[in-house]
Amino acid sequence: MKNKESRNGIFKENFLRFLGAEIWIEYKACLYSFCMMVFYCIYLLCGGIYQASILILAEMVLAAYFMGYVQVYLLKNFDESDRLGKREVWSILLCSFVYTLISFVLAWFDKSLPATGLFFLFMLFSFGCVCMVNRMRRAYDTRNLNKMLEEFKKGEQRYDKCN
Amino acid sequence: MKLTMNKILQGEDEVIIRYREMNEQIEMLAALVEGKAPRVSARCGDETILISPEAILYLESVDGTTWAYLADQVCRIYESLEKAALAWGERGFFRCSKSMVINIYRISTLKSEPGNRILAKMENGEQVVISRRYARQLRGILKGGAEDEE
Repeated sequence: MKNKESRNGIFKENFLRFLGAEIWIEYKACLYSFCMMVFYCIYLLCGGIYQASILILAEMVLAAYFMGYVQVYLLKNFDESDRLGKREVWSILLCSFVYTLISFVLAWFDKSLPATGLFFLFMLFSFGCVCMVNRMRRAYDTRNLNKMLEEFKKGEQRYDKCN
Repeated sequence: MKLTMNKILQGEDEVIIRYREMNEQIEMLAALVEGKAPRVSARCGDETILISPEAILYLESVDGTTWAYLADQVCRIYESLEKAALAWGERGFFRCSKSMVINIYRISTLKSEPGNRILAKMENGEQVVISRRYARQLRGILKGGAEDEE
């Protein structure tokens, strides 16, 4: 009976871990596919084209999902990392390169080398921004947590509740 | 129980307890004010001593044995983690993982970590990772509500 409960607990734990990873992948896929779409739309607008290919948009979403799995399972969720170390920089370069390679192979930008080069820089910039925003968000959260801790220690919360 | 607190500018701090009937809660309050708060028996090295729960930074369960980490020593206590978390919850003890209970009042700083986890740095410099599930409860406690607690 106890063994069954323990097995259930392990299964639940593993399932929650899997679910957590899948949520991260969904989030990343949304974020980076949106970034790519922005670049794609700017590229089209600059060429005087006002219609986007649904096939290319779908390819972008699928590419973002694929890279989401790579980021979470192989590259240790580097864009959520606390510091921008050597591993994070290499991961950013690698992901941007893979995105660029996919864009070239699938001719998202009509195999134009300048546009592909700009796309690589844009993806580097996007990854950099995401890393920075995540760090800022956590720094704000840390400050908030410590403020709440300080108030809790002072007992202000309990006092407020009584009055 | 109604709580009234008045801030005074002069004189000695004073606690007046008005009760209809003496009960366990009132007795505990009185003991706390008199400095006779419940103590827990702990085995530290070769000697057995009585320690105040407030002196404990965190508790850890290793192979079914509960260890209490004080500022400068580690002692074995005979309470289980579940019991300790339940009995001392009002004193700031919080279950932060399957095998650990921390004393919120003895946390020096908190740090937000990726994946909604929290890193708690205790007064002795030890760092305790609080997983997302327990981090949500901790946030609820710090906010002063129990809405996020299970």
